[in-house]
Amino acid sequence: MNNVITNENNRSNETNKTEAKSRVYQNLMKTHKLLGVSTGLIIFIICFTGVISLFSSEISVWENVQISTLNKPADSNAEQWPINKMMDKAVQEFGGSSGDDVEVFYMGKSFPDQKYLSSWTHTESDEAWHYSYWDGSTGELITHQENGISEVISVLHMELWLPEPYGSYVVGFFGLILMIMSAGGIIIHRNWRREAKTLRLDSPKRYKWSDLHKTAGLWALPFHFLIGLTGALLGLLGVILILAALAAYGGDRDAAVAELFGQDPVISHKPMTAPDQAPFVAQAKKDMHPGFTPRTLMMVYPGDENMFTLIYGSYPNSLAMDSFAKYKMSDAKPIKFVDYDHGPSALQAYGISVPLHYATFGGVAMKLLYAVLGTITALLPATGIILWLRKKKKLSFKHRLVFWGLLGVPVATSWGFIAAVSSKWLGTAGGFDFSTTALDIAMSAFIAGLLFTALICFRSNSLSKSLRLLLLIISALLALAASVDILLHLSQLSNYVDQKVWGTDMGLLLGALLSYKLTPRLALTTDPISDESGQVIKN
Amino acid sequence: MIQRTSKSTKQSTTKHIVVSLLVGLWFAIALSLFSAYYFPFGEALNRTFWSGLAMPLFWCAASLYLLSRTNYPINASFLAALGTALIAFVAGALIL
Repeated sequence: MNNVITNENNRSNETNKTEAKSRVYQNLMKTHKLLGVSTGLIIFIICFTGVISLFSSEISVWENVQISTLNKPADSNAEQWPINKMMDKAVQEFGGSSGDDVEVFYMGKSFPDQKYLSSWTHTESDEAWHYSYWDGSTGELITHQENGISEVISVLHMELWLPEPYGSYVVGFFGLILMIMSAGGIIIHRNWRREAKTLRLDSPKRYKWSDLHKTAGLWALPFHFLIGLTGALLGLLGVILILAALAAYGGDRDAAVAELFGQDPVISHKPMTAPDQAPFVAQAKKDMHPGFTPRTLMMVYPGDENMFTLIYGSYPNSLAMDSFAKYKMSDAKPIKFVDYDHGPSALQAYGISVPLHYATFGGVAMKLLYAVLGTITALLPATGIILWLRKKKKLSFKHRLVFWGLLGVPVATSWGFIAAVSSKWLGTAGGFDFSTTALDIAMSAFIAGLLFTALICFRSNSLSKSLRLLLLIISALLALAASVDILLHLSQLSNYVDQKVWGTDMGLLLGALLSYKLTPRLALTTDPISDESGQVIKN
Repeated sequence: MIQRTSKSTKQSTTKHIVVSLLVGLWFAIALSLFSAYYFPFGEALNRTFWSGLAMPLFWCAASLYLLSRTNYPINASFLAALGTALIAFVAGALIL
């Protein structure tokens, strides 16, 4: 009798456990779908622009004809840069009549073999950064050319065009959502071993999108999670660190700030001739660990008595982001040394989070790998949204809006590349000056591309047709931008052309080819097509 | 046959998601601050960075756990109380 009761109890316990497990899966599945649909669009935009932002430095060279055809030996090391000469010129150019509008002058190399120096000058009155390119051996200005499409895409990726710092927080929050979705996705897909091997791309039914969503999610899962985590850290760490530091330092805000960043001097508004920068670079090499190679210098409050400098540099074969030494320039006193390679373990862990997100290690090969993996990450929300759209009986305003959001940014990006190539060559051949308007032109073209996509999406009665048409437009525009650029460069045979130009052109042609090749694949779909009244007609 | 989700189910799932994210954040901040203050990670700088780096992981884990559950009350007053507590906490920490 007792045995029978025990068996029944066991059975009942097992049933309860199974039911509880099933409820967990159901809850996660339900929330995964709704969270995915509600945030997928923004995650897609962040991932798509992130893939392009990986090559932001290369694209900024591509869209600047003077820099991309500059033929001279690579610049020497930081100790020999005539930095004061370049800073004085930048202050004269951007500092206003009194010259004290410049808050920060930041200068360095993005690539080790770079033939020029890039500088960013921050002006207080308009809170803007001004780009300049310099000959690092003579200190002469090459151009003040602004970046165009590379800047538009980077800012969209990092801040979603929202005001600072809220844009970073929002992007960081979506990084967290990507982490939750990736981790949740692997829990709800219990048959992941089988699903990982199933990809029915030629299937005429919805299996194609579903398979693509699952395989993209499974095969690159560690990458999705890593990008989500590092993205969340980059976006939110500013706030988190302040909170954590307040707790760790027992509420002593000054001690926390001094320990994290060093106590920076405040502007005194008393003029001072800027001391020579070179001794500070040499001093930083002595103060930091052996192997420290300075590559970026920052001067804060140039020409002020409380001016201070930061010498950023890296160590050989290091994964960490640039460490830095900070000095007050009037008395050459060190303010702070932050070493991400040799500091405390937590600092080292933080030091690798930025390179892991931006693939600033491993050269071009690593960037290409990240681009492939990043495209797979972007596929996740895109396929999720298409799955959701396919289930709809009719195309409402909301669905058209989502569809527009999904295709708007890729189409607008291709418009931006056309604008970039136009301003690049019209400036040279037509004698126009786009040095300060390149960003506005790229931005205008990007917005025009978004409006054009809206027109297609909101007027169309068929998602499939719109999708195919827009992919063909992307393909044509990218191919046009690359072809025009290649032809015009080839027409000036005597001129040297930077490899990054050919690389970017090849990237654009590859993008065009992919869009073109995707079009017939999409033609196989049986997406719902609505007529004027919104009723579904199956093709 | 296309399966439709009812409006009320969608609303309750939306609430469930919002509350899970908010409570997850609340939990993550609390755990992060606790670890920054108490955990034996050596010097304060180490405690600061480790707890800062772990915070998104705490948030993700807590929210994911809550998303898989439904056994907690979700209504307007609960949300209001949670939001107020969170804002007060962060504001208090920043003022300190």
